[in-house]
Amino acid sequence: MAKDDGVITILLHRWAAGDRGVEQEIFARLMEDLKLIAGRCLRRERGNYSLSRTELVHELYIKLAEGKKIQFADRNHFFAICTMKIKWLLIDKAREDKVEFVAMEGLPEGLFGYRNKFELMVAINTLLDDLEKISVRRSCVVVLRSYLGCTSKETAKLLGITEDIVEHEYHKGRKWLFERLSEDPPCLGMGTAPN
Amino acid sequence: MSWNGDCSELVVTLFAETMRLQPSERQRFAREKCGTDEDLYRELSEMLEWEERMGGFLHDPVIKHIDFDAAERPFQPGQTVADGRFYIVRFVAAGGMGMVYEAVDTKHDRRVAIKCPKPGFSRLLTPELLGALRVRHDNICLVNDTHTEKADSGEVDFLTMEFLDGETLSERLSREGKLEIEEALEIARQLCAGVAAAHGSGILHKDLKSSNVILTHNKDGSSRAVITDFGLATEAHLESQLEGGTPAYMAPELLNGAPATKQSDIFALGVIFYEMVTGESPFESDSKQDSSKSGSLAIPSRIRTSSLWPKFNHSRTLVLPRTRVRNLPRRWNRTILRCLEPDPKQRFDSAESVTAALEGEPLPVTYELRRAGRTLRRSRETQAVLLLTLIVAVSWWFYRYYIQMPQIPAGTKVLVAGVASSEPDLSGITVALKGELQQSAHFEVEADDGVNQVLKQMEKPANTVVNSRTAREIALRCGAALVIFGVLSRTPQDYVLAMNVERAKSTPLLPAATWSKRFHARDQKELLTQVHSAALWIRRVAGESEAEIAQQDRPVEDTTTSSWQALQLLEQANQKHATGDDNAALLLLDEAIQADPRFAMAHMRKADILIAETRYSEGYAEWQKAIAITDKTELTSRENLRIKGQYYDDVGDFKSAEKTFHEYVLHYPNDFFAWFYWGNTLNELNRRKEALLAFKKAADMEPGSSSAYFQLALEYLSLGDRTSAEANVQKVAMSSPPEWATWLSAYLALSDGKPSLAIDRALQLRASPALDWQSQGYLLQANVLAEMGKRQDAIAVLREGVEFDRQRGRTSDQAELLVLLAYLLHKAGDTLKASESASVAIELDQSPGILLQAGVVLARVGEIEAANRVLARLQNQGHWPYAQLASNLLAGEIEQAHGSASKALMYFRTSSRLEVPWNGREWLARNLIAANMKTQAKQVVSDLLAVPIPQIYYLQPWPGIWADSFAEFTAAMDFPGDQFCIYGSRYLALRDNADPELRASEVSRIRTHFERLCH
Repeated sequence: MAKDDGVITILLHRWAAGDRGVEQEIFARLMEDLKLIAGRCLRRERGNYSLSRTELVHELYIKLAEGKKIQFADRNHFFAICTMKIKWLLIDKAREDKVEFVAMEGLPEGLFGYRNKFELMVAINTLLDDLEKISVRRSCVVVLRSYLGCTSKETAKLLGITEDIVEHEYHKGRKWLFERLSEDPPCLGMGTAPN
Repeated sequence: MSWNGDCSELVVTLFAETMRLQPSERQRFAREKCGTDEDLYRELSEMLEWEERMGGFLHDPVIKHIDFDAAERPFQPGQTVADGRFYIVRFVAAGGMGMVYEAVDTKHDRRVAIKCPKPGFSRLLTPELLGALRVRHDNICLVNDTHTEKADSGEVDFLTMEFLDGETLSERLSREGKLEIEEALEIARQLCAGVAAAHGSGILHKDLKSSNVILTHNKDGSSRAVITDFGLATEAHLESQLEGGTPAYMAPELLNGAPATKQSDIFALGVIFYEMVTGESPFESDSKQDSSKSGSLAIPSRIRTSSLWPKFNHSRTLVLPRTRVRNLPRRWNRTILRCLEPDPKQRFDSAESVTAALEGEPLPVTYELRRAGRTLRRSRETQAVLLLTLIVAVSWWFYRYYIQMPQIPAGTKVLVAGVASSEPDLSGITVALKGELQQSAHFEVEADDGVNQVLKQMEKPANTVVNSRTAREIALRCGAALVIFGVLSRTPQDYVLAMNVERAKSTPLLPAATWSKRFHARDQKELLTQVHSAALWIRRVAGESEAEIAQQDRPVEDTTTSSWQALQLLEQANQKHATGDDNAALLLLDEAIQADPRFAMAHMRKADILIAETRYSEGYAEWQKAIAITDKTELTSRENLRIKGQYYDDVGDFKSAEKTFHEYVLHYPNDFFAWFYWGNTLNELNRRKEALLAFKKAADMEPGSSSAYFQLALEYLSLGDRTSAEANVQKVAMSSPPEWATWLSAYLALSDGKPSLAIDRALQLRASPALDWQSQGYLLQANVLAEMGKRQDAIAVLREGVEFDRQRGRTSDQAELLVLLAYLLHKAGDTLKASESASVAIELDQSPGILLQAGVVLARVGEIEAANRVLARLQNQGHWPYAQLASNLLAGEIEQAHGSASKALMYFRTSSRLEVPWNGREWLARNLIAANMKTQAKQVVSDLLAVPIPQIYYLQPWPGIWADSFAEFTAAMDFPGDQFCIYGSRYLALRDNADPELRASEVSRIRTHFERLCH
């Protein structure tokens, strides 16, 4: 999948050894793969979730990390930031009018405020970046479930946690976002993680 | 970042369980499960309340893919539009700016095509445009009318036009590849006719491309090519296309923001014709450039300034049509190239003349002379070296150019085609084997760069998996006598290395003879020993004597490394380097060095890449490390000696360089390089007679090698043997591209005091098909004119040269000519323009050579502050030797401008190595005179004037330097009579027709003195 086998391996090893400085380089080299995954997430037929998204996203992770015998002290973190990159790629697609946001049913009026759907999504994305700083796992669960449409089971498998924890994290994550979105004026800044 | 575990397990489990229930049952369930644990219940209950409040927030996937087709198609099949007049039959295609439907015009009962714009392009149809669309010509798609229809997305304008049943030229080409010449000619004729008709009505197409050409048939069955979308392109469209990143049909000036013209349409025609006869696009992007400047295409035109353009221009390289299709008729090659001229003025002036040229009408002679093979481009690297080692660089550049010619047999070369390994971990085995074989004094292993060069000539990618046939072809092309293959496999018991040696034959199909042998190893460690044994076997097969082998026979851990991992990383780095991904290669080399810090070869490769990227300080540091390692292991191999010698040469330690190359000669007496390099260093040390012998030996070793003759010509010239010099120029002429001999004979004519002959030669260079040589032609002509004392003419020629390079985006050469122009302007007293030219040069190119020269001009015209800024820039470039030399020279120059001769002298002395006759000598001489140290000055000046004119131009490339120095130095001090007479007669011959004011002053002074002293 990734063309630069040797290089990616080295970068991943460095990353796994704690060198966060190589993150950008890794993603620059992975960009094509990430786009591919984002594209495949988009192309799936709505309502038919049987296509294994576990494989889609896992493909990247497995091939890059496990396939290269990398001992990730922090495999979830790596996986999570891949997912986060995909999240922004999707937003870019939305910006190019290549995707649209489906109606978010049952949302309280105040949540939109003066935002249109796109602006709301950008706000959510930005907040997710903040959430990531507080809890990578939590923001990752939200992205996997809300953006990529992974089921609870798939998310659990991807992140190596139990389904129960997924449910819990998903709730916490959504609540954290919801609180901030309902604030007036909308808060885009940092917050603390609620318990 | 952290993984929060902020809840009790129980809450987590209970919440998950609760959420699996229907919302109405959740509260009850929670109450039940929590029992008397109120805290637990409160927590759970709060979560459930939140769930209720949030509703479906983020519960479903939040985005979906828009169905483009549905959203963007205003009409559906079966629908009628324009009050029922047109019945939509089917959707045909979506193009760059619109959608095409097949429809029936019920009023006239005929098939029509309906074209409507995509959203965002809906209001393109201005009245002027509609007028334009009515151009009637067989080869232009006829537009009938425009209509407006209400659609879901609002009002949509649409065009009706004749329905063309066929495929686009682009579809045809991608389906079948290139066309037969006869068919291509017919299509080209028709396209030109269509374009000519439109141009005749004042209409430009602005977006010609093969997907805008439809191939269909006339009623009589004859073929018809029709251009669609005439005049429909808008600036917005062009920009969007640009954003897409394939402006393959756009003329350079369009990309630079200039408006479309007839000539930009003709450029696009050239691209289409190129595609028709080759099946490929004419431009190949330069991968290295692309990676470093990616994104330059995506810059919107409003902020795309002309200064960015040269970068873009560099990033696409024209591949000559005949490179792609060898038997392409010459007139096609010529016509296409002229359509694709970067300068619009050089293209055909009309579409009719394109047809005429394709049909065989000769092109104007002047154009033919200028027509260029334009893929040659002198690299920055080469340029830096030019400035760096002066005369060595001439020969090296020359040699570099020369070894690319596969027809030159290079003696006992062998090609290591590689060892295929079933074990990825052991893929470095090829590196190890090569390292072992490189010890041989009997044969020379073809370098990786050489192989890559050959692959490029074979139009194969650098990372091609070389099979035996390709390997034989590479061997034929690079003149290798033997081809070495291997296969490494693993059995349950051991590793098996099967080696195969073939003697090359004049065909790649079969070898002339083969030898094979298997080597077994129980483990990876033993495999290293077996690589050594395999190398020994190959050396014996190749005929190397036991005595020779004994002299150089080191194990793998000495020649490369005993770390298989490091070997593998180096192999990967080599591949990355070959495909132009130097960043990746550097990363891999770092890892290789980490795996084995004593892996000298990895340090050397890293140094090479860094130097090529002009990261000199880091590069030299790596070289130093490599040399320290090889010094310790006392390992001598060709590569080690060559690199060590080059390093010393670059850092200006000519004595160590000479010693190293002498050792090289002793170890490898059959190696052309050894003698050639040794000759160069002897030359640098002014040991000219020994240098002459070394070059003779090199020439004997490779009788076809023009680089040795080139050097011999210069040596004889400096030793005053004019006849032998001329004889060697003849040999250069016979064994290399003609430009080298032309260049040499121009300077020979200058030395003889025959400037008009030199001018003729310069004009010949300007007519060369190679852009580099054309640019050199301007430079040479300016130098000769300046030596003749015709400064204004020289200035005019340099200006032309600057413009020549500018138009072709040859930034480095443009900068080089600009500093020389600045110097001449300063000499001619135009201070303002001089400092302006110098400043522009600095903006274009910040390489140390340009900075130094520009800084000197600024200092000499009194712009001390600007010169100081340049000095700071030079000093920021690190401590690699040339940057230091340049900094010292400029610092000295600035001190001199301040009038502090003694401080200046200090700097100049530091930069001038007294055993070497040229480095910094002109500066030193001027300063010694200024400091009134005439005895010392005299020695320096007489050394300087003795340097042959071609070499003096690499010493100090100011136009007119020789005659100016002579005039300046003889005015400043008494000169020994005999020397004055020898050089004086040359001076007078050169400046006989100088500019009047020069004749009245300088020339007349020297003439008077000469007549008194020398008759």
